[in-house]
Amino acid sequence: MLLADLPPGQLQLWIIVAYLAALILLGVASTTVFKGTAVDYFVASRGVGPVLLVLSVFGTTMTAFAIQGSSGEAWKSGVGVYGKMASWSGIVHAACFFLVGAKLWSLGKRYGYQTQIQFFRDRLESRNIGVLLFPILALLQMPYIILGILGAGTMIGVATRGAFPHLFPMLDAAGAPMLGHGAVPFWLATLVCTAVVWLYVWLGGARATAWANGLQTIIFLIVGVVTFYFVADRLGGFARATEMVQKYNPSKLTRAVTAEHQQIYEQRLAEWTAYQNRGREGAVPPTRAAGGAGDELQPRNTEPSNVESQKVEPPGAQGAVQGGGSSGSGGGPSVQGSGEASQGGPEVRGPGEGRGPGAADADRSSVGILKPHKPKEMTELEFLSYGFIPLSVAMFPHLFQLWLTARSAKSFRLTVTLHPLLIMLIWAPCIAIGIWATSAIAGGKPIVPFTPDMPNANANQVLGLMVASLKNPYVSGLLAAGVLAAILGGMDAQFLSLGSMFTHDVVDHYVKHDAMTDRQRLLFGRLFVIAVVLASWVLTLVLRETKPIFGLAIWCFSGFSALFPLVIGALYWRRMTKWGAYASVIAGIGLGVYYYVKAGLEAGFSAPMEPLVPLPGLGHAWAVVPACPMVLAATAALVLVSLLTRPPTRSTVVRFFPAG
Amino acid sequence: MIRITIFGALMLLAILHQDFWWRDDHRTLVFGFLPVSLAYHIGVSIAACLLWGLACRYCWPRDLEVADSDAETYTPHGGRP
Repeated sequence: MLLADLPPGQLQLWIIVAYLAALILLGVASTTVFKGTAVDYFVASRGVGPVLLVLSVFGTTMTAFAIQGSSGEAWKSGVGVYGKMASWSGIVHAACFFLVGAKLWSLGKRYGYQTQIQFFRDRLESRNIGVLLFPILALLQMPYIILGILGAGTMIGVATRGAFPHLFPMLDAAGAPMLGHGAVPFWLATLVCTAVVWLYVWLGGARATAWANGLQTIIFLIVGVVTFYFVADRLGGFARATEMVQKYNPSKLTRAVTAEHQQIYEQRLAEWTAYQNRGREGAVPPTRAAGGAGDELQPRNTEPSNVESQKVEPPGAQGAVQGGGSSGSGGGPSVQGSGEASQGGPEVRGPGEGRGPGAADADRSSVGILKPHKPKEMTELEFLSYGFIPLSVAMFPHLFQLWLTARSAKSFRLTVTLHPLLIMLIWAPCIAIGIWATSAIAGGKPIVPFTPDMPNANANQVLGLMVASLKNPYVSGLLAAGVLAAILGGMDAQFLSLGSMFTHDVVDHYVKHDAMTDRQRLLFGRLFVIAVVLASWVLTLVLRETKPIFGLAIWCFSGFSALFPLVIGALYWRRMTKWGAYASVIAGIGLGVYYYVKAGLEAGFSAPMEPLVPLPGLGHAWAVVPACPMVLAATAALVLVSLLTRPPTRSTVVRFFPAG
Repeated sequence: MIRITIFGALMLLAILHQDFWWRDDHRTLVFGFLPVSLAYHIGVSIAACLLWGLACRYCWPRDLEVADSDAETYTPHGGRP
């Protein structure tokens, strides 16, 4: 049987299985060089070279947001997303690696640190700084782990729809197949994913994690380039795709909204409204009577997150999209987009649609088909303030763990240099796809059948819908592997770092008084990794339907950013004191909690909260990301309180600032 | 002098990141398809790569390397409680 002849969803499943098998193989291979010590397990005996370091650090830093979320954000907010997220990250991440990463590696190797708290305990002459820092670091990390598992389970469920209709049936009361019919169920998908990650982390520790992240980065790069090329081809070429945006949503190509943009928007909206009215008068309503594959894609199940948004398609588009599925695709759902995004991947090919590159007639026939996006300005202050977000990498516990694996300080040079370039290679194609998606038409239908202002519109579906329109199971499978790689690549390092923190900062410090043997550390580390994996999986199943977890995750980056003054002060300011550090953490995190609760009370904790806060007394026109005031407050508290309290002892200053 | 130049250039890059001069230009396309603002920021990423490469070459701190013989096993500063 040819791969292309497999039932829908099975090819994607086999690509995912191949990826997971490769991870296990990497774990097994890493045991051949495993030395059986705690240092080898937690920091790979500090033996990772420059090439693997750059790949693993990049793979860990980039989450699924880099592939899936970036396209959705660009679709929603336009071209400014690249500048405010990607190019800022290129500059600031590299600065953090240069100024913080290499320095912490040096101190880590010299004094044997394996966790951030061990370093801060010594530097601040505070045995109990961990009491404050440990819960903060753990609580900031947990939402990401849970969201990762959630994303992996949902993505596999979407990618494998239709794969095993007899094994995993999902039928409604009338016996008709629902959206997730035949898909690998959520609990099983998440169990397999977390088990695979646990297995290779158990086997190889930090080395296996670094290898897995290296593989992830390679998959990232392939997915970005391949998806970009095929999507552009589908839309009639690069120039044609952008031309459509200029015509329908020019504000997506800028950060400002001009009078011309507003005028074009109003004109396109009027055309769309007229088209809808004509459609209502003469269109055949969407029906299941045709019995085509499109029926199976109608949103009638209760799967989480994205299904709702399928119900918000504009009237004309809805009829067209679903009708297209009925009349055009024949037996079984053709290619569904992979990734969470494609959960809203209804059949978008309309009757008579050409499959080849081009859609050159779109110009003539597109009038009124696309609902334009309401222009939304990105202020210069918002754009500027996003520069505070990437400061968070300086305090990621899992990144700290990876930094410690470096063979030498010089190994960081390649990471510092190539990181901005790698970010560009991943983000630029995804941003371009997101912008094109605002105005993409295939077969006389919008590829993304909703706009950001519609209730429950889900930007995460955008990339999946664009890929679904390709009708190419190989690209869909590759995207599924790419998104999964992004999710699991961050998760493994997070499991390991949390296991390390529990072992060193809780058990060793408070129970064994820093006198654990190497063998005990290794045993406890592995046991805690199991505990963290199990707890994360159970929490994911429990919190699956709890929306606040989504809103909370947005704020976690800001929380890590607020800890940036702590680490930079500890490394470069000898006058920084223990009390200055406590004040800094309490001020920065405290302000973040205040903003989060305030926004939650105003908008509801289950609603997606706008991650912008107005500067005091200046109103909403002067809004910035929360990380900006949080970092400033943390810095002010650190400086002020440090200057007012007793300086560190001479022995500590000599230990950490020998040159001076 | 070279250190000041490189770090000065990085500071300048951070300032030039704020490309308000392209903020309302939706017509100019680079290579016929890239919006000028996106193309500019791709350029910023490439410039960041080059400048950080130079920083690593000419401004790398000299006191970071630690010989294996100087590496210690972790003991809390000041001894165990």
